[in-house]
Amino acid sequence: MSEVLDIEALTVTYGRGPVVRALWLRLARGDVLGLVGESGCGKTTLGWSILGLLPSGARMDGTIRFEGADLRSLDGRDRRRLLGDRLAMIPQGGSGALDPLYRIGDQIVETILAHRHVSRSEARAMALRQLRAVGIPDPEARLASYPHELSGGMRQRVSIATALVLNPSLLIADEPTSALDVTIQAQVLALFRDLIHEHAGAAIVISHDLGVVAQLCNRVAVMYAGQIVEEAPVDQLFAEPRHPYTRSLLAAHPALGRRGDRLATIPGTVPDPASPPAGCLFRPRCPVAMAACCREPPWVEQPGGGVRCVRHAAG
Amino acid sequence: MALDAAPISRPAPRPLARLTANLTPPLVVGLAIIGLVLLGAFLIPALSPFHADQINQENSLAGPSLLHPLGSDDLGRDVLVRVMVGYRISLAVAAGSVLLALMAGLPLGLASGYLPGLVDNLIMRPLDVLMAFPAILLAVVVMAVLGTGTVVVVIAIGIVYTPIIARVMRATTLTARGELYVEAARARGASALRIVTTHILPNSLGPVIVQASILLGFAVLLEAALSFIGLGVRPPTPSLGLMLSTERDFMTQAPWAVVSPGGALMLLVLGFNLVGDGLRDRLDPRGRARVR
Repeated sequence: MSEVLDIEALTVTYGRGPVVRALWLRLARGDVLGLVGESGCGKTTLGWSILGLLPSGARMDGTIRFEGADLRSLDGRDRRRLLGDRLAMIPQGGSGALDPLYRIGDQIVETILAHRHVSRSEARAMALRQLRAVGIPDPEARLASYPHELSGGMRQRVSIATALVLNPSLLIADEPTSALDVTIQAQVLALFRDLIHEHAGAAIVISHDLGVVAQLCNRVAVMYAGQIVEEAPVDQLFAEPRHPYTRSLLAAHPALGRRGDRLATIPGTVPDPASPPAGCLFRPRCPVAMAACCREPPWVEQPGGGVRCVRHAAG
Repeated sequence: MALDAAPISRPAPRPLARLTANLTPPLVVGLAIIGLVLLGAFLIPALSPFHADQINQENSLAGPSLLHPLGSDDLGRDVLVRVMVGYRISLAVAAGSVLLALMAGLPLGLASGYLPGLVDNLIMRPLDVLMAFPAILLAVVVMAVLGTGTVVVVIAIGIVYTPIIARVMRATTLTARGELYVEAARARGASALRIVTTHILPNSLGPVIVQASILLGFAVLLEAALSFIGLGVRPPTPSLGLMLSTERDFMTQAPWAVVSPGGALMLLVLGFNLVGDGLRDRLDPRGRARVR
């Protein structure tokens, strides 16, 4: 089955209101999907709900199928068997994802041993190979290092190595490079792109940085207030954004060498989940809103994706 | 890649240097006091020609001399030897009761910190009730149920201190469970038990160690207090509190028989408190900036 992930009508509700609203998403083998949007639009919640690790108090509806199996029907043990193995995540601010009390090598080796029946020395060899693959110099010595002895960029690479060491079918990377400074970010991104294709079946890259998405992904889904408002192949999205929100996002992205103009912003904030506006959720902030926007906007299929906007339904 | 490909400078492993860097003055003085007390408690009774229970009526209430450096008590027993043997009891009771409190308090605190809601309330509310009683009253109640004797003192003080340890452990667990490495461990498929034992517990031990070292000092005092009011260690076992209680009748004639156990008690508690202070400077995250 080439379908890796199939999310149908996923709704996640915290106490105050839905954070993810009736979301549909499909991922095939080889897909690297960028999930972009402002803070608070539900990107990270979507990531954790795929893993089934939402905080207690969250309610989840809809189905999530991973390689054909319904993830929500799995019990704790079966789910844990999957996590870190075929379904891996690099959590946000990944350089803090290493326990300060354990050596780098032990943290990777323990992950391998938890999922594979291999000897400790085999696991060590796998860890070593993976550290080398993410470009860590002198990996033999680094295996015995503690996290505080490594720089932020190195720790991030270790995080990436840990997530990819068992060749997951699906990798979820939450802001994989936002904790890094720009020079190192470029290195890690280049490396990461190759590694995803080499070691992971498919990937979801969560980011608010369109530049990161442009470099890593072949598809983009733009999220707003818990919905996907536009989905398109990456080139097309940048060349020809359809949804007004996507256009605003692109306009708000600073470009090098374009000086003089004040940086565009999107007025207002993401709506409160408890009291969303009627009709299109972006309407109160939309520069081209019109009367028809007060009704629920249709999902308009487009080649390679679609857009949730009434302006494109007319054609 | 050149930027961070440079070898990261790692301080050469010099364990001795790292150890002395951590030794702040209070920690050194405190450790020295406890070291001397331990040394005295084990050496002096062994080397002295007198036995702690050796009665010599002719020598009753004799002042300090070369033979009896701290004088003798109403029954002519050597006060120095009795104080040192009393130290053994104090140390044993303190260590035993704090160990007991740790064994009970750590799992309780971990469970209530990691499982908010029902489990947390089921564990913490009864412990809050225990905390509401004054320590000595609670200990007296426990001993009223279990009887007296050294072992019962250990159990009573252990019960008194269990909620204190559990509270500290719960608080640090609450902090640690929000750490990214805990979320990362969950995302790698680690079970709750594994997360708690391998990630949360070791990362939150610092404040617990500080609390335990301070409780050691209080346990010494509590044991002395219980023995003083006749509920703790039974005579003729020499306990510092018991000595204070019996010898205070002769305070005007033989002050050394009262001042010695009293001073000894103060010294040991001071030692534990200084160690607690010194450890807090090292281990408490709030105090770290001050030290570096």
